[in-house]
Amino acid sequence: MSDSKKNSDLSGAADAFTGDHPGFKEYQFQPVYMQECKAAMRLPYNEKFVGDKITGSIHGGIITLLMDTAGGMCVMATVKKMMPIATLDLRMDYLRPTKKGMDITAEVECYKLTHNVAFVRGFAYEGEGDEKEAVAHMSAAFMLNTKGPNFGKASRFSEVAGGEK
Amino acid sequence: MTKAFDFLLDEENAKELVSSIPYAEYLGMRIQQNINGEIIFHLPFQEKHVGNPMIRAIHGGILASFMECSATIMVIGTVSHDHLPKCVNQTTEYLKSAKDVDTYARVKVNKAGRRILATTVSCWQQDESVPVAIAHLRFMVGG
Repeated sequence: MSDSKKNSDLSGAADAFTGDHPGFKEYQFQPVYMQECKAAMRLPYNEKFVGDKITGSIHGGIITLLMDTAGGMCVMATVKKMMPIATLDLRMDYLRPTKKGMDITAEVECYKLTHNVAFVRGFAYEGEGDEKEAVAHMSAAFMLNTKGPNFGKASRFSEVAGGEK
Repeated sequence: MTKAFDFLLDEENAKELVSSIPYAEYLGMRIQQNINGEIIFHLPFQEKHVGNPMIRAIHGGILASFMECSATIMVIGTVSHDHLPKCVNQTTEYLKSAKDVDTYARVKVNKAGRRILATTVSCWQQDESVPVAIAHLRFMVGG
């Protein structure tokens, strides 16, 4: 699938994950695509997020933050509406240290959706095409319809495409 | 065990250790000690920590990051080594939503092996007996 096709799936939905959100604006997370059961989000390399000054490798914590956010985005892409959700638990496996100056892309999928819980898993990659290599793995469970107001406006989701299989 | 922590209890050392990890400094975390002389990690609330602006809850990823940084620093204080400890994996259990107030964490080193250290971090806000999240982290030390 071409990048332009992927981007067209974003529509207004991605606003909730960038735009006026105080945190995500700060971390500069960029939604890459959002389809049925799948989502991807990119973290541009930033010196502020370095964990090891000597190697310039990104800290695992910011990768966890990226994966958690991408996981939430994926859940909303799967239920096709904005709803309050909460991470129940999240497991990260750090496969290898990241390289200096490289962007990280989180690609997650929702592999099971029940009435109350969404099960999500995915990899964080570095590089693109043939150079693409996994740096971390994530698996998480999200509770659906938690109490509290909605995360964003439901109308933002009206334009989300049904997604390609 | 307690002797190694004297290093962390020194304010200068603690500051230097936090600033040696750019991401820990970015989060704005601090090292403190409670009245019993135990090491407590403190994350003063900042606007950038908010994950859900509607209920003003701290992002789960920020909590996980804070707990990972706390555990890393505790591991540095526990063992002497030449390399930064590498986190192998971590599991975080979210127990309740974290409000827009300061967060604290306590790290327990469950096992300090030759190559692997197993830690548990408990994270709370107003009341230590009501944790908001608990994380288990494994670290590789040396080489």
